[in-house]
Amino acid sequence: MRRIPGRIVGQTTDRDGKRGFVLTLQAREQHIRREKATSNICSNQALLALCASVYMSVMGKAGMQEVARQNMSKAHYASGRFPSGSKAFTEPFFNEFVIKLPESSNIPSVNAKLLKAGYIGGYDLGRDYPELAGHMLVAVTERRTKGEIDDFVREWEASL
Amino acid sequence: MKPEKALIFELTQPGRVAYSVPDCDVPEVDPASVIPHGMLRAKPAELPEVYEVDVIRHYTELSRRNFGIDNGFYPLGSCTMKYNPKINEDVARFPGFAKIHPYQPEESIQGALELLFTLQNDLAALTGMDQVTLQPAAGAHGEWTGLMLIRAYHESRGEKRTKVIVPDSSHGTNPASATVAGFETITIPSNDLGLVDLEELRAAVGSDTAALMLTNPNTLGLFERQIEDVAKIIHDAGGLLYYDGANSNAIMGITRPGDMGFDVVHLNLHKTMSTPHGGGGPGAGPVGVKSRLVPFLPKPVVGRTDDGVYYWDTDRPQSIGRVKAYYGNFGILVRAYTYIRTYGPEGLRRVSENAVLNANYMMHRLAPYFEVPYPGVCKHEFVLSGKRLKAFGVRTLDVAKRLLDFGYHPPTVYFPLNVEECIMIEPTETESKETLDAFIDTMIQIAQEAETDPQLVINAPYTTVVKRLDEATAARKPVLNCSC
Repeated sequence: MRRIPGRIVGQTTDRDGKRGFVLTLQAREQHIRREKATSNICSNQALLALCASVYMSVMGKAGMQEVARQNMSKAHYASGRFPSGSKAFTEPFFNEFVIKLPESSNIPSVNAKLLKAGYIGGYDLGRDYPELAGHMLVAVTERRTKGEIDDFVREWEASL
Repeated sequence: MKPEKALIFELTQPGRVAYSVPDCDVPEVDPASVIPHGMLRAKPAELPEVYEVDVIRHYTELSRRNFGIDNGFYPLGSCTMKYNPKINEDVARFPGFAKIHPYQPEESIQGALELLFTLQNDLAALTGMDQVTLQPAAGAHGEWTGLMLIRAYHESRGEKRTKVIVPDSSHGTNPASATVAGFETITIPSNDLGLVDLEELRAAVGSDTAALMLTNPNTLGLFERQIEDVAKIIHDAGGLLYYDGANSNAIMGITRPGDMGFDVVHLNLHKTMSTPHGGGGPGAGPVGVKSRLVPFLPKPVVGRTDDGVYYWDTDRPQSIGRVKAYYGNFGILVRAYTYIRTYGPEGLRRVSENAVLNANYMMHRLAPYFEVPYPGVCKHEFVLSGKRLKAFGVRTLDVAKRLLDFGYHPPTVYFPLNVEECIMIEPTETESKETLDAFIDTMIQIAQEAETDPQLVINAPYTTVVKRLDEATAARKPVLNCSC
């Protein structure tokens, strides 16, 4: 713990014994230890931490599960709408899956047509994994409706 | 004893929720039918169970327990806590900027790419560099990036240079970044004027010198008048000059690191370019380089074709690679772009002129009450020493804590390290004379309290939501998780 980088918040007490918080274990940090520091991280991610903290407080114990279930249900619904021959993998998935395009199509052309129709298409996996050329990664979240998913798959088929 | 402020976890009542999501309109999938049994959670995560109103009130109250730049004067030396114009926030929230994703096709983000391209060029123009990368996420990240560029440059020439020189007044990030980048740090003492000691520098350089890291003005708020001699000593030894842009609020439109002889520069956009520090968003530490280092810049950089189409330039075979996912903290870059467009070249020069004027005004008014170790003309910040108050048992830390009772954020204290009981004040250009005078009067009052009633200062603060906190126990017996 005393070698982990980044700032760490700890609980303590004030002169009256009241609970308070401080940045602690600063002896690891660059402003104290200079060239011997084991932490030199200055990018402050407090705003993002705040956003995530508020979100998790709002969603709470039940909400985070509900969101996860909807992600999974909608992604599986979407996957089922694509032609069965287009499924690249059979392993379990959560909220994103890989679609294989027919040999006659290519991803830049499909995604360009989808963009005209108002969609950012699936991620071209061939950019990072040459063996997956012609495969796109499609993600679905709780924010999509059945109608939107149906429309997207229809546009995808039309763009092939 | 009952804590004054409950944690959100302590407000939990089982079954309460703050959210509503639409009913699922597709067939529900049972996770157990998909996810392998051993990977399913046995029970839900222990997150709060509260109403929406609880969340709103809790976080609103937390925000009111903080002191920020919108609450009052914040003369934190070396941090350039200037007012952050609200137009920056408005522009960063334009849906066209806020709701795009970095994986989008280039033709669908031409506006964003044009903004980045323009900002790269603006920062290059301001610093006198040939090209800029916007990727680094913070100042120290920029330092590390710059040092990796310096390393790649030397290696491309078949040279093994292992040492980075820093003055003793440098920011702690400089030696720390050098270590993380695989260099050995050589610290050289400053001279009696608080400037780089040329004899010490000449003695420190050699065929193993990779670079000198320097701020100018330096951490004492003093302009390194011999910078051209410094540059010559380093360059003659085959090393490069690294400019830590922490203090560039003093020089915009007046001089440029590139003209002083620096080869690599980072800028802290959250200082000089009025983007938020800390709570308002991450930082950004763009790095600019002279042409001989351009081939090594992180990829991609934003390019423009002759037809005016913007694109990610990834065809850079000598690049050190990516230093940040995607292309840096984009929302922060939008704010910096907005600031530069708002002020323009003349406006930015006035920013620096007024920052310097404000600092000198404060230094001269405070000089009779606190020791000024380096008298004369300062740039955008200055240091005082509180050592005279030690005779009354009052330390600089006590003065800093007492300032809290008057509604001020304290200055930086105990830095730089070469000034005893150091108090480092940077007013910035965004404060009125009334604000500066009120703060100065408070400092004078505290200096008088230290003589007449030292316990009053030593026991401060009195008016804050918590009193002086036990930092020693917090570090010795860390409590890092809530036990609820």
